[in-house]
Amino acid sequence: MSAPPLLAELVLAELAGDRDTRDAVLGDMAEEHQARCADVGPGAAARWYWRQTLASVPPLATSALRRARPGAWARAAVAVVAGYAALMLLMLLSDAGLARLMTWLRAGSDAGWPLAASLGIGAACAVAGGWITAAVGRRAPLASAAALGAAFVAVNLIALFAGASRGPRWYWVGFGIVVLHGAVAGGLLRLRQLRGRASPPSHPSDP
Amino acid sequence: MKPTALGDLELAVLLSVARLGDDAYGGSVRRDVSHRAGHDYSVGAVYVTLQRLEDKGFVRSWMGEPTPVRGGRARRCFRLTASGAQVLERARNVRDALWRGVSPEPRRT
Repeated sequence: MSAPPLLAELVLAELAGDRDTRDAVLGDMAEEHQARCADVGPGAAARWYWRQTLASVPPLATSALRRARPGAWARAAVAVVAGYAALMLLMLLSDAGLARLMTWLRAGSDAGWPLAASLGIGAACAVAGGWITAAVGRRAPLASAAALGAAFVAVNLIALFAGASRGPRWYWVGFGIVVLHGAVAGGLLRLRQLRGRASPPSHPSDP
Repeated sequence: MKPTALGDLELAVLLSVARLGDDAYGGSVRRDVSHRAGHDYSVGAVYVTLQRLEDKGFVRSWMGEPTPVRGGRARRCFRLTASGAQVLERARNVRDALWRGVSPEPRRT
């Protein structure tokens, strides 16, 4: 039997809400995925799983936002601020290191490789920032990490249109995309660790 | 006649829970509604709707037994409540009243 796509399962698990609903949603999906694997093959079954997951994001996310308690909002805000601070600190340190390297290599400001290196470093910093955000906002780790990425992109865009960003425009657009994906990847990494530690499903209860 | 304040998907899901009886759980309701409506509804949309119907007191739910085919996870089973049955009856009466005297053929002027 082919297993359902792990990333899609993680996204559904993150958004499904309480433990019973999460078990029910993932169980229903696993059951139908297995039936589709036998009927139409693992590839088509995986595509169906992804289509279902992506179509489920808006209703589940809206429902989760409606049901979130004020304490959860405060916790998520703290998580994003902590992740943002960590991300900026890491990027400042790595930029300083990169500047030193450029001086040592006597690279000119028109060299293209430092920008490419900066994108790579930005991705690594974003993964770390996303992981920290997900660790602090542990009730909604993936959503918190995605919020960090979105916050970074928003600030980046404001700086870009206000003319406060130096360097080519493609670089800042690329940087925003890299950081958004890196932050989500960091959140997924943390989520996977948390799921790995999770205990077996709850005992069934009668009506 | 008072309207029932049920959305289209809420009505379809509630009817499906009534139709499926003891076999009503998230997956079977999603398949039934999708098959009858000719649209592949997402599992998220169906669960959010079922949750809303439970909040309104029209269905009640409980967790079933975990099974290996579901990766050791339990089903969430649903059943129509008395007020759910009442709201369905009212929805049918409202629909019948609205349709009375209407012909679906276009009128020639």
